[in-house]
Amino acid sequence: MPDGFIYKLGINRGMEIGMMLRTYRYSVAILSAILLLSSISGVADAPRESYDVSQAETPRYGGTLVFLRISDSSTLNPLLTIDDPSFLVANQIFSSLIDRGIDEKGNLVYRPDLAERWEISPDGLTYTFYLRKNVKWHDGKPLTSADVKFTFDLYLDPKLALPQRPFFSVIDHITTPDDYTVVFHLKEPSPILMPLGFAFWRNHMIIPKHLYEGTDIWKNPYNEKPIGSGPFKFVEWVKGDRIVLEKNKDYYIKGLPYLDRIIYKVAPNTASQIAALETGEAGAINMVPEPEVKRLQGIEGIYVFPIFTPLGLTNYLGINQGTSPAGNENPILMNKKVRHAILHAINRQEIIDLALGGFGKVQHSWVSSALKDFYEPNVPKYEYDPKKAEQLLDEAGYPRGPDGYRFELRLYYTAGDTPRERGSEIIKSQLEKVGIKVKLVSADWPTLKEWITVKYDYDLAWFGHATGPDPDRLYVYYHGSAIAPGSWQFVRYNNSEVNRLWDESRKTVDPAKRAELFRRMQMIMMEDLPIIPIQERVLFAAARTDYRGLNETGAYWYCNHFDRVWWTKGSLATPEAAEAKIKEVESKLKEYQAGNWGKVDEALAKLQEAKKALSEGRYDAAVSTAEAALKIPTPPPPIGLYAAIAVVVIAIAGAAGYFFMRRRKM
Amino acid sequence: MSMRRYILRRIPQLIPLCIFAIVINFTLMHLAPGSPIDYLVGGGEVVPKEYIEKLTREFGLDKPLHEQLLIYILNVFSGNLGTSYRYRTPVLQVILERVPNTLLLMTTSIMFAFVLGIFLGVSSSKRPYSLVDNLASTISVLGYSIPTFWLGMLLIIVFSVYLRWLPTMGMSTIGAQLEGWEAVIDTLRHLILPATTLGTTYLALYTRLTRASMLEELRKDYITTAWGKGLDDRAVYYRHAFRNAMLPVTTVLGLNLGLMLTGATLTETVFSWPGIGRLVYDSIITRDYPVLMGIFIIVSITVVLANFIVDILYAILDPRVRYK
Repeated sequence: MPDGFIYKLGINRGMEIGMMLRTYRYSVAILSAILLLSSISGVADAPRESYDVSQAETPRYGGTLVFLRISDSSTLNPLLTIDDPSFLVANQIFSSLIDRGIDEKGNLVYRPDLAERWEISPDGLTYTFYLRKNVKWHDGKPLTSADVKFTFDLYLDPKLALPQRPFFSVIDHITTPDDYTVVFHLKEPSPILMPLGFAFWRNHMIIPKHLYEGTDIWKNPYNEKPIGSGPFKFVEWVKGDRIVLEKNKDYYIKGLPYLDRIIYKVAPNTASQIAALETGEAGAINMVPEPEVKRLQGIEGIYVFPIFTPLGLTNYLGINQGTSPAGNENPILMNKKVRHAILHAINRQEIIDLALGGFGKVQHSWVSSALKDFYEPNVPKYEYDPKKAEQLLDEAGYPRGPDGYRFELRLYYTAGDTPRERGSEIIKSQLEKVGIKVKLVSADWPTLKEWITVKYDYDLAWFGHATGPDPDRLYVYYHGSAIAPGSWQFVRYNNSEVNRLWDESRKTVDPAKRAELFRRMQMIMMEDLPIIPIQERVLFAAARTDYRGLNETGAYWYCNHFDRVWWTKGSLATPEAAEAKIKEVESKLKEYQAGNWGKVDEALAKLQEAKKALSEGRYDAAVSTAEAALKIPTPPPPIGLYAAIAVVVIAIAGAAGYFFMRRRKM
Repeated sequence: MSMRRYILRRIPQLIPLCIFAIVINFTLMHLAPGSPIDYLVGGGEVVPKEYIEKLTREFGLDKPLHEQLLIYILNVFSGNLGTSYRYRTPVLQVILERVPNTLLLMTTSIMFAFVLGIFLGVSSSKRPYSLVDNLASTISVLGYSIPTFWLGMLLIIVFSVYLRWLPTMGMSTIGAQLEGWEAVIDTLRHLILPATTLGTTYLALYTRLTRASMLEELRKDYITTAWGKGLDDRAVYYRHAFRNAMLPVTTVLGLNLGLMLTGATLTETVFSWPGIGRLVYDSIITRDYPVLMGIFIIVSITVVLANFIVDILYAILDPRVRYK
């Protein structure tokens, strides 16, 4: 939830009790990380994971992935919530129309999920999705266009007030020409329906009509024991502790998923999470605090990888510089020269290096440079220049007083967030050099949120947001119409020209023209400076090298299907193959039994071992044991041959006896 | 007879006490800044107003505070603790799911600390300022001053990460399907580190307390008499001094037992132990008022009950209390 509420104030490291590391989603483009690393070290290498990602490796079947996370889901019905921990699990159980991936250049790309292909009409008013025909709900019923229409109709129902409704409000109605075609008819063309609606990671999971129709969606019992259509099925939920999922054997992509089970375990302390990863009790952890990244990279058996890279995450200071709605305005900060001076007085690289883990580059705009199409590289840069800062402050009419200070500002950060706490101390010392006295204030997030976004009782406050996949999601942060107590527009920035350009962008479907509008807005806003941009943030997750493919899950890290994640200690044989083998051997053994073969009981005992191996997910062992079992029985004795031999022996013996008798008589 | 009357007199005290606890907690919680809705709309940039209004109405947060309080108290006395905002399930269910976990951890730690603490305390008191005494004092003071959080991490690093003897987290091996004795042993292995961590804090308390009250008793005349009678060590320490010295220690034990249901937030967090302590913490962060209130009420009742049991224990340990 970098765009989530906790991320907003970055409660993510340090002591990390409880909520701190719920800041799952923050990250910055891989490319910017590479650029930064190479500019520092002079090595233009891509970041290396600590194992060789060899193309020749064949994925294996079986295994249980234990995935540690900071907090529990609140519901398993993805329509009822906006909190990230809930989506983390729901995205494995449910499927969406579109899946999201990253191409080699680090760009976000759309991939088929439930929809095998889709079309957007030239006028941008109809979106047609063609569904796969082999999709089944986990209870065996087929998934059809009726389920898709049912789900989206719930979003469109104003009485239900589903939290993600605004993303789809542009949809007028939905038709289903046949069981596998869904057509969305829009009220007007929308450039954001795809990136922030259909292809966003929490907005469009399809729920089963046959279980929800005619029920109160808020109280339906399936919210607790969901039936989805994704790669993993729900098994159990022990609240506050764990959620267990198992492989969906009827998953619509044949041969997937590889893993047998995923267990999401709540481990609220990141230091404990890392310890469990080191001992192998856990297979993956959803996020690594930046200060731990370098240490973990050095541990054998663990790989660390950047996550949420297409989201363009940022770390900045919000400035209380507006007036409306009236109350707690700060006339000093309303002076643009003062805002410019503050940014000139802050050495951002120093803050990144000393407090924020050293990753990510200096942020210059409110849009991250990770959003290559939208980012404006020519925004004013405000280089570190304390002399210029002092000059601007003098010009603004705030000379140093007898105590050496010009005025005092309060800087707010979330209690327990060590990096931002350290960052605040650095900012304090930097600003005090130019005569701005700084008072540091910290509190828990719910308290802070009320102070900052409801009462506007702050001067500067650490905040963060994701700028991607489309910068339009920042409308609620910077558009004048979004200013309201409790909204994210806590800087109360209101520039009529920016508002106008933004409104225009929402009507502009041409991507190039739209990007141009966003670039113009950045030029204006970075001159106005409603925020102090600090860092384009890179986030990391870590996993044991036994679990491959976690770094390739897609654009939104744990919110992509884990269907291609596999375990190196698994089997080359599929569970289906092992099961078929056992069945085959069993029927052969039964034939042998009927044919009076020897050692069949022993072979059947061996087959039990194979069955045990199958139930334990050791598929290769199951196959080889079953094959060994087949070799044990011995064919029944060939009675005809024995009889013939017996006849011959008796005959010879008789003849010999006769011969001796004759001799004696002679 | 007197015991029954005593019990009957104490029970009605519970009701005003509970109301008092409810009023204080309820008011403090609602006056603190922050709203439960904020957690539920968490990551949403664009949250429809209708959704927020719907939740506010559903939780009854649109009514004035005193009205909310009254509704809550009436509900509690009709046996309804409400529904968790976060999980949308009955509060009692949410709490009861955690109770066995917390009880296991707390009982083990407190018993560990109690038994070992008394042993160390008595040993120390036999020869004050000797090597044994100094050692026991050092250990217990250290144990008391070390932050639980830090001690827990240290134990994990030593016993789990380096030595690989014990698991780092949880109540059972994740993903293993064990049955019978294997499951019991598995749980015990998971219990060792958190119980030691938590027990270490209590250990200091019991050691120092036992030592102090033993020393006090040993100075009294009847002990001199006992020595004078020619009684041996065992009889003097255990039959005479120990029984009297146990009174304050029992009081503390009773108070600790009363807090058993509160869980231990820090220990439970470090070891990912799904107990009440973590539930309290999570509920504070998410402002899940009904769950918090539920826990407070249950804890208030247990504390009162525990004190009550301590009083009875007093009567058993000290005959004078009985005769009064």
